[in-house]
Amino acid sequence: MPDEIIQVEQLKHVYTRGAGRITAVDELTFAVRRGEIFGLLGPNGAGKSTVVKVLSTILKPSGGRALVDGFDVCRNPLQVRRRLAAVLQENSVETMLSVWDNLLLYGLLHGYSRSQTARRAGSYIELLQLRPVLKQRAQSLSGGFKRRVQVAKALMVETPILFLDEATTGMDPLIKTATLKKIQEQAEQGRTVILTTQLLGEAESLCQRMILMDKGRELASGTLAELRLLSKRLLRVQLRFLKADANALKSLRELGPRQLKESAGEIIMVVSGGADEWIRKIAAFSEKWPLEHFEIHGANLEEIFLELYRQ
Amino acid sequence: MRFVLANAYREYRIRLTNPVLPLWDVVVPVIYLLIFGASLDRWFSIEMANIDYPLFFLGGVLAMVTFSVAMNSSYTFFEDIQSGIFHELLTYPFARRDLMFGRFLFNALFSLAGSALCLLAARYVLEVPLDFMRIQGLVFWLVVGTAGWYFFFSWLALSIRGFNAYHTTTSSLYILLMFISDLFYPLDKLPPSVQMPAYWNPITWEIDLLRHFTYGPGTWFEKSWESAGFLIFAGVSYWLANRSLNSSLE
Ligand SMILES: Nc1ncnc2c1ncn2[C@@H]1O[C@H](COP(=O)(O)OP(=O)(O)O)[C@@H](O)[C@H]1O
Ligand SMILES: [Mg+2]
Repeated sequence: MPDEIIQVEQLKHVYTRGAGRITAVDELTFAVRRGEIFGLLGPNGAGKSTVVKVLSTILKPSGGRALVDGFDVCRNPLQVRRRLAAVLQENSVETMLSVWDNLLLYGLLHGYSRSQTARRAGSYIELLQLRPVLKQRAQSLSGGFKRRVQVAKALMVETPILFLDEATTGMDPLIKTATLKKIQEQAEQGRTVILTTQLLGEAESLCQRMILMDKGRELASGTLAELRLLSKRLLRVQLRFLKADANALKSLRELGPRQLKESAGEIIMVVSGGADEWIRKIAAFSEKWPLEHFEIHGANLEEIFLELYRQ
Repeated sequence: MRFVLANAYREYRIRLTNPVLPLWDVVVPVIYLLIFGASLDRWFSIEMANIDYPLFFLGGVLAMVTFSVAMNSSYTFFEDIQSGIFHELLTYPFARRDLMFGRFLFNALFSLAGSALCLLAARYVLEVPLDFMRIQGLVFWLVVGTAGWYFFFSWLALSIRGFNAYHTTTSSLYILLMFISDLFYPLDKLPPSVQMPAYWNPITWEIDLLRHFTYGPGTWFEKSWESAGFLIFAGVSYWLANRSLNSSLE
């Protein structure tokens, strides 16, 4: 059993229908390991959903290769589908049926019996708080509730791979937290999760490894630590002056931070270089302009992302 | 087979959420049968010396049942695409043909139910002398007839995609195929310019076969070639429908 459950090699997808040709995915290569939570990150239009659609056999790639558990998505699509469940970005529900019938039908279409489906759905109905709307037609649900129905479906089946395309969009925060925890739990039990998101915080707390995409191409990939290295060892320096002073801010800028933001007296800089070097610099600086407090950390994903874009 | 049944069940649940529409598929042909069957009977009794018009018309009405059940089924593709469930369905763990056959299975049963209603109306309201000796052949061609039109309309729906364009196409096809055929009149009573296209219309072949199994006209040779023609039509439609289902999002 290879360690890499998903292998994508120089994958390309060109949309040809409609106006013009749009290259949505361009020479993309990455691999996902069994049991990990892998992030596909990037702004709107980066090509994340297209990758998910190719991997879940909805779209055929225009070039390159994609293997899911060793099966080629073009040559063995059925074997691929037997291994996955997908929450796609569309609010896909059976609009004419009740929420319960949505869950039931999904179970039946995944090969479970009625009683098996009922047993499996139970805990997810509670988790996603669907009990009050169970008899309601899905058509009348808000976007957030439709999302919950989709997530409940994908979590209740036992496929080794789970695709989540911006699955938490529109969910209320409490339910979102509970859902992310459940996803983490399933991953710990060996389920491989591939999630796409524009919310870097979400990826940061959830994903072991990730790929940053832009315009269909890879911008960077790896663990958060590896991405930090790639982005010239970015650090985040956070400080507050004892007494604010216009000159202080000016000479802080002269130290050459890559990013600098100030809000309500709190200054956050993204800098590149060694932590030692920056501790020395700030210490020297604080002799002239005393500081109330000062912290230095690895940069967060959002900062890395901005930096990689600038490069 | 489990997935074919699950897909049939899905089609059943979705089509019957609004029972008025599918009822329409079944009721309209019965109304046609009762109205035209009874009124045209007087006109034609002179010309069609050896047969009552309602008995002649019955085969056409049965074909109409299979045709409209199949046509209306194809509209669920648009609903599924609009709700987004269509994409998701394509990621479920079964072959695309299971999806096609599952939906077809429901439509076939539904056609049979509609046809049963027509046969009962013909027998007990119009008092058409029906013998049910050839019922197996009739059932066979009702099922194959539904299959042909179902795959044909699935292909059309998936390749046209635009709802309005599809609606226009099906409405025109409905009129053209129905009237340029021997549904209402025998082929040799049609205007000469229409006879040739009507002869090459798959619905004519289907009607002739259904007629053959309701009261037995036609030669062995004619039935064989019409059977072959319709089976080829159904096979090609099946192939096209699967092909467009597989490339439906590119
Ligand atoms: N069905 C389609 N037809 C044509 N272009 C498309 C289609 N779907 C997506 N695109 C285009 O492909 C690019 C990538 O889209 P997508 O994969 O949805 O990105 P993301 O999920 O990262 O927002 C975008 O430029 C988008 O406009
Ligand atoms: Mg997307």
